[in-house]
Amino acid sequence: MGRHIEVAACTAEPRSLNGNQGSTTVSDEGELSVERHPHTLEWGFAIEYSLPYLQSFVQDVGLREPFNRMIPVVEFSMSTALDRGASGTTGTVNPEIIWAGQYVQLAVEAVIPVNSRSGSHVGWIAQLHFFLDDLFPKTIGRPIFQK
Amino acid sequence: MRRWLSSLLAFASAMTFVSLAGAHAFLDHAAPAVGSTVHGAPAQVKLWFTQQLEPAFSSVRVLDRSGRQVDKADPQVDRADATLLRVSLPQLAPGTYRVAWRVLSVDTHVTEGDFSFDVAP
Repeated sequence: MGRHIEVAACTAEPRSLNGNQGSTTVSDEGELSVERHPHTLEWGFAIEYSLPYLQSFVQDVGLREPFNRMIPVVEFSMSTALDRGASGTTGTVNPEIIWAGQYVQLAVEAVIPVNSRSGSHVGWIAQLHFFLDDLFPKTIGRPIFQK
Repeated sequence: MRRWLSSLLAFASAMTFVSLAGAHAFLDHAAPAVGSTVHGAPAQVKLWFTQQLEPAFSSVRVLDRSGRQVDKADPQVDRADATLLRVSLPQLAPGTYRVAWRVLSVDTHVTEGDFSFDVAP
């Protein structure tokens, strides 16, 4: 009968201490490994173009539903190793289309790795958000305290 | 336990996002249209919003290039269509005018904005 115990402790510091003990036969052998992860700089930025803002504040170019409520976004999310022998940057570029309606917001986002160290496949994220204050304006949509 | 905590964090994050992204009364379209040029002075400026408005706390002003108010100071929410806010205009001279609006939607959220239109001879 095998026995395997794994303990991991993580702190706010970018390091973790992992204790790993296992045995498949009657044995007292064990091992302890210490992983020292590098400090990393998490950075990123996003570019968006709000078609609702264009329509309502700059120039009514005649967009109709559903295009007049769309917001294209490209988000860059990166992580750069700073020390402990590690180097390089990993991250993803996430192009996204948001449609903001009166009661819900829909979004579809692709997650594209920027290099081979970041991944090898394109991922997808779909989001659905409900505007509860508009769905229930007479209950939770009202301020709790009013003058 | 971990799955339960993850679910709780995901729900809390979603609720935070909802509170940030809540839809309010935004300008849907206007006449004269946003950024447009009209030939001949319009008699009114009409603004259609994405939500119904509270008449007592919704207003619109039309300003000339120097910032002077030129409308007739009679903004009103349409009785038959509470998403429509309008204000009357005198005979406007050719030029660029700015429409500044501030509205309170029925869900008690205040929004404001402005846009310009041109009056051509």
